[in-house]
Amino acid sequence: MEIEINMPQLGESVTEGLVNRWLVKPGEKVVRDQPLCEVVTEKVNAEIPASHAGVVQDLAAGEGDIIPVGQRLCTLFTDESGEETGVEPDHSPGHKPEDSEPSVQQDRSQKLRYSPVVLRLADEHGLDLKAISGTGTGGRVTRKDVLAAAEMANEPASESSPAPPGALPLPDENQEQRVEHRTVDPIRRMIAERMVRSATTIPHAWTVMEADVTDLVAFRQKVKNRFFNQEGVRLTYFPFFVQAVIKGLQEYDQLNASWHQEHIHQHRDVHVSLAVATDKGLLVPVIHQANRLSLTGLVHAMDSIIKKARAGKLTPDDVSGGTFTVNNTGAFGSVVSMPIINPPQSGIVTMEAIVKRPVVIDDMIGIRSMVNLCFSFDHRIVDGAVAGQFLQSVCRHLQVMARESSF
Amino acid sequence: MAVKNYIEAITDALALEMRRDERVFVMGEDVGVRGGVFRATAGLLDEFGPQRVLDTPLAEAGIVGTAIGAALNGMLPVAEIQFVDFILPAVNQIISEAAKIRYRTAGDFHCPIVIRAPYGGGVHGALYHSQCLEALFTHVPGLKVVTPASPYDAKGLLLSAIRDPDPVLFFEHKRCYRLLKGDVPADDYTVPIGKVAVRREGSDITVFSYGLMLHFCQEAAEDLASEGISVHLVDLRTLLPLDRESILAAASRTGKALIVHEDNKTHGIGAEVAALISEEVFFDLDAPIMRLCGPDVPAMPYSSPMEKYYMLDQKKIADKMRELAAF
Repeated sequence: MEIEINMPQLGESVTEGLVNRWLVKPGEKVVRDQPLCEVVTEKVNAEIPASHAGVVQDLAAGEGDIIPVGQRLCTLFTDESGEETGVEPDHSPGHKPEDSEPSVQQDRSQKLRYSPVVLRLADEHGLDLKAISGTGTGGRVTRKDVLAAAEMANEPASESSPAPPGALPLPDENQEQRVEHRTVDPIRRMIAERMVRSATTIPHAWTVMEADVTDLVAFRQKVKNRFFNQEGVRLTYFPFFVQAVIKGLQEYDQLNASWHQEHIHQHRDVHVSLAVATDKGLLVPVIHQANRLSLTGLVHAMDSIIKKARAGKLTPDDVSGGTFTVNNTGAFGSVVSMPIINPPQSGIVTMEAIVKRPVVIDDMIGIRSMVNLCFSFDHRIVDGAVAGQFLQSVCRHLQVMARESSF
Repeated sequence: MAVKNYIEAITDALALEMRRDERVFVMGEDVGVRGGVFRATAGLLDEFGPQRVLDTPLAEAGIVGTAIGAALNGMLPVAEIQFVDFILPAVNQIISEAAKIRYRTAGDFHCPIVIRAPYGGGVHGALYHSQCLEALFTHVPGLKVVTPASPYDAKGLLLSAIRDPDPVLFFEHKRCYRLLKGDVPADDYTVPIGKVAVRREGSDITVFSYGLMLHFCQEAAEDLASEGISVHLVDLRTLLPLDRESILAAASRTGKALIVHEDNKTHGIGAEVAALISEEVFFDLDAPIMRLCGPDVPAMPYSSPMEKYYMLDQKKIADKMRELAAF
């Protein structure tokens, strides 16, 4: 029986994956669950396992090819009749695509099939067909797509070609050569698509509050060396902040929710998404059931997932299921920011830089360590009053955390 | 300008040409006293008398053979075959004689006959009153095959056919007879044989059709316009000789060609048009050339649901147009 191995859904809203390396050859015998190839997506790298024992028949994708989710990667020939194995195994347990994320699973099977007229027009206009997105069946580039691309390509050229009278001759280098065209890599495109979707579909409301973290600063100063010796991990402010957010979410659980058009999903557990800057771009790994972790547990969980993200080793599980996002913008010195919500979540909170400022307390001026918390929330899910109470609660927890924490 | 239906336009053309040229006469089964089973020759007997409106026996080979003989003796006969289904006994006369006379006499003789025949289904006519036989004749050099899709063209093309010096098969879709109405000038005008008509300008797909199907294509194209699909619709009008230049230009215009006909697909007109396009303008093509035709079964079924299944209609055509537009 022939079994098709298709590109699995490797995480929410991932629509395609890049075949990085084949680990098997056509004709090779494989055992069940043996890795067939490595796939790189915007978010995770994964090995695609054989769903059955059998012989690899052919590889439908070359190394470096980008294959849409659901499209065939290769075919296995097995001895089994297939009666009990007719169900395509789910390679990504635990993270079915959320229904609010209409996964843009476009069929691109015809993307590289070019009709005679398309090849001719591309040649005449000097166009790179791979750079043109197709509107035909299966993503095929149609004659009209090429004509539109040619028109686009011509416009700037025709504007700049007649030099104004008396203009200085341009330097030898063509103006166009002064602009470098970089192809948008999968991560960049993913970020772009999500940001546009969030910013254009979610009514963002925004608020800022400041918290006095003088006690926390003193507390951390006091315990950080001991903590490092005991735990082997550096103690930063960020885990305190994350825990304050979790406590706030537990008090105002309307915010631990996601928007799904007809329904609002209310989550019992807090799965915290952490915005992590990596040299490849922004990644957002998730700490699941963070509400069950102690501060020390949270420090370890955050440390390990951030290291994993920076090493490019996140698995599909690591990036899915988040219910709320926190972002440590203070790490690069920001004092106020307007974060964009990570859909379908209800909100995102940033911790800005902790700065010493003169503050009036009981009609006296003191020097205090202050931090701004910036909060963007989906106004469809909650209103300003609840959002404000939540943020106040986070500030309050942050202020008293030093007293409540012990190591 | 008078609004006439398709069959009135035919009668109009016959009467006009019989008045204009006394060599013109009509002959066929029931064309005289009865005025034709579809009434195409109604009133002609009264106006022109039994010498020029001849009721013939039920013998199609005789009708065409007599017409050929008359034509060789300087007359301009318009023979009617009551249904195209009955033309088959006359095929030997048409193919072996009429089509070859100019060639075999090195141009000393020619054969200016017109054979009119109603064709096509969708009228509950079953096996022997529904056939489309145009493809039998479009394979034969020496013939011209014409099929108008509007009252205006019916008159103009019939006048051209009668004035043509060579044999012309003039196929009239019988469903069009009273379905289609349009402006038909009372005076003398001709529509040239061998020229297509662009019925609708468009930019997404090019559709070629003729006869009743052209009419359905027109309706489907109107539906699709509201979906943003722009159809370039070409009425072939003459099936032999094909208007090669216009067909190629229309196909190149969009790069996506669809040929629609009621006749069955295999070895049909669509095959010839498709082959022509792919031979001549391959590098203008953006999609496989598509055909939507009647099924390859021996005959039109009698049962109404089966006839409906057999016949193309506006919806089937619109679906195919969408498929090509999306490609």
